[in-house]
Amino acid sequence: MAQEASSSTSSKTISLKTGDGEIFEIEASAAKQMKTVQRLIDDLGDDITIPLHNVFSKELPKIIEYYKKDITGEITKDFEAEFVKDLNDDEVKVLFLAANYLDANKLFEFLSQNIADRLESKSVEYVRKYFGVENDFTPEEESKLREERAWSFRGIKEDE
Amino acid sequence: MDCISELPDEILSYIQTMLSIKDLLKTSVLSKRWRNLWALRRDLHFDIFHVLGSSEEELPQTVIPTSSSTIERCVRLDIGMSEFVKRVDQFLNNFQGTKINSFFASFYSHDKHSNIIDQWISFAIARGVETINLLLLPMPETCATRYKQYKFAFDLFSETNASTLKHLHLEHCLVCHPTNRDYIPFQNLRFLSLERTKLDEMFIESVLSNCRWLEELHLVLCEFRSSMPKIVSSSLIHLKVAGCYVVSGYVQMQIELSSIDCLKLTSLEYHGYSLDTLKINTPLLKRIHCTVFYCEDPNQYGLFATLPQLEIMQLDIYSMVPTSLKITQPFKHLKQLNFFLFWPLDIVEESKFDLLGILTILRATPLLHKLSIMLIHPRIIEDQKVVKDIDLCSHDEVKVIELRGCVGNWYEIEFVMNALRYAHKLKRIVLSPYWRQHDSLDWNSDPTWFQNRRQKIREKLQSKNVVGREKLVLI
Repeated sequence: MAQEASSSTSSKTISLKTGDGEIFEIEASAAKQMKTVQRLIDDLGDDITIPLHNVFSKELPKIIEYYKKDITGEITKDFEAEFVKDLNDDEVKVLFLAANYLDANKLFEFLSQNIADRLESKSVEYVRKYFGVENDFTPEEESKLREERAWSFRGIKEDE
Repeated sequence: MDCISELPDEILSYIQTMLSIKDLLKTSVLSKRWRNLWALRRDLHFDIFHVLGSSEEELPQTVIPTSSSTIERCVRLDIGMSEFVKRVDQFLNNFQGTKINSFFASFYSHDKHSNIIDQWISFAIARGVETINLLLLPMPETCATRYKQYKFAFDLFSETNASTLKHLHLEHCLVCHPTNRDYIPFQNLRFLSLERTKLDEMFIESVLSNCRWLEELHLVLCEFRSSMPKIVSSSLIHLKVAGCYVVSGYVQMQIELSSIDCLKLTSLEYHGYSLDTLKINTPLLKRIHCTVFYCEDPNQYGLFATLPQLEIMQLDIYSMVPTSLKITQPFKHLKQLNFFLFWPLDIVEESKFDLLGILTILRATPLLHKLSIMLIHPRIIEDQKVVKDIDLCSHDEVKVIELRGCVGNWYEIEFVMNALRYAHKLKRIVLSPYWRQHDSLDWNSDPTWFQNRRQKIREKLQSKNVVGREKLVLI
């Protein structure tokens, strides 16, 4: 799975333009792993710069870094741990949303797990803010729910 | 898209599947949409670690009892498990999903929880569950006298409800035959595994004849009523039987497989004390993994010799194989032979140990391609013997020989030297220090191997000018 066999795409690079106007290059075989990008290539051809309106210059290099490792088959647990080590929760969220937009499956699954791990034992308020959820329970409804599930609210970490 | 909440339900629910039960319940408080979302969860998994928690304050002393009084330990464990049951109940009462794929529960249990576990299983079956794993743990021995095992009663399940179940694994239960003896629910069962379970052998025979798609059956450490069931099935592909027994008076007596009549069986795993009474009709059998404890005569594996499709055989051996061994029936088709060697219990003097008996077994496997030997818990023996040559007939097929669990003892060199003389078509012979137990994923090795013992082996083989030593691969 690591190396794409197709000879016509093996050494070609594709230009990607972020929403804030910066241009990055990736190998065509890495682009294949991002289904959205591949669809755009199929529609527009691989010679022109592919526009990615919803991905920005802050996160695209990190995504490219991940898939560079992926095409050489070098993604290990250690690499993945390093990859997210210095990212804060918001940075991971932005990467996650970008991976979703790009339809980049492997990165998406990995970041989903990372988000789930980060949310472990965080407070409900924190998770609401993180996901952008509006609370539509009345205070009475919510306190009843919390009471019923009291045990799941023990051991909450302090919000950062 | 700025915000995770704008993502569709399926994606949010996907993140949820990675949360523990505890965090999952918390998300049900986020908003009404989230409360409904977690009903999308298909796989329910309840074990002590995830339900009672992992932090020090939460994982009560109940589960890792350190208090000295045994009665106190029992009481605390009881309280802990009551809490476990309460939380799982609460989860299920609030669960609004209509379909479940799998249900897993593992905790210290006894018959007091019977009704509740029955309810959980009914709950799962009503939602079309396909896989049930109920791995009950026995209460500690000191408490055990007060409690009986949970009784898994098939009577509860009506025909229509139970038809989705394909995979059932029960540990430490009592399995009771349905009162209507001709009727077995779970007609579509593909996989049945019973471990440390007490049951009547007629039940297994019923399952085998009624579940016409059953592909895999495991009976491990089970207590039967009076004898081992006869394994007769036209669909069974994999069979594992290990350590089963009956209780007579207060004595546990091991019982052995007597009959396997399965035309489709391709793999068999058997751990017992004797193959003497075994009759088999398994023309498609391809792989065998067998242990016969405390048995000195490898000839008893001879009943497998005539199997026309037999390709791989793995034997766990607890005694030393004598070089004077005569094999009465050759294994005409065997391609690969694996040995797990445990340090023989019948050896008094360590210096009498050798691996040459295994090489004589090669005579019985004329078409063998690969021979693999793993020494479990190898010991470094101080008093190294002088290596000897023995007379063997040549083997014209074997290409690869592997010896694992090496520590630099003399018998390893002896083995290599004789193998090189004997196996003319050998491409490579591998000596590796790594070994592991069956049920473990961790490899072990002795550090002195890498320090100097490995080097010593190479030197010894060079000094003896052994022909073919270029085929040796030293890991």
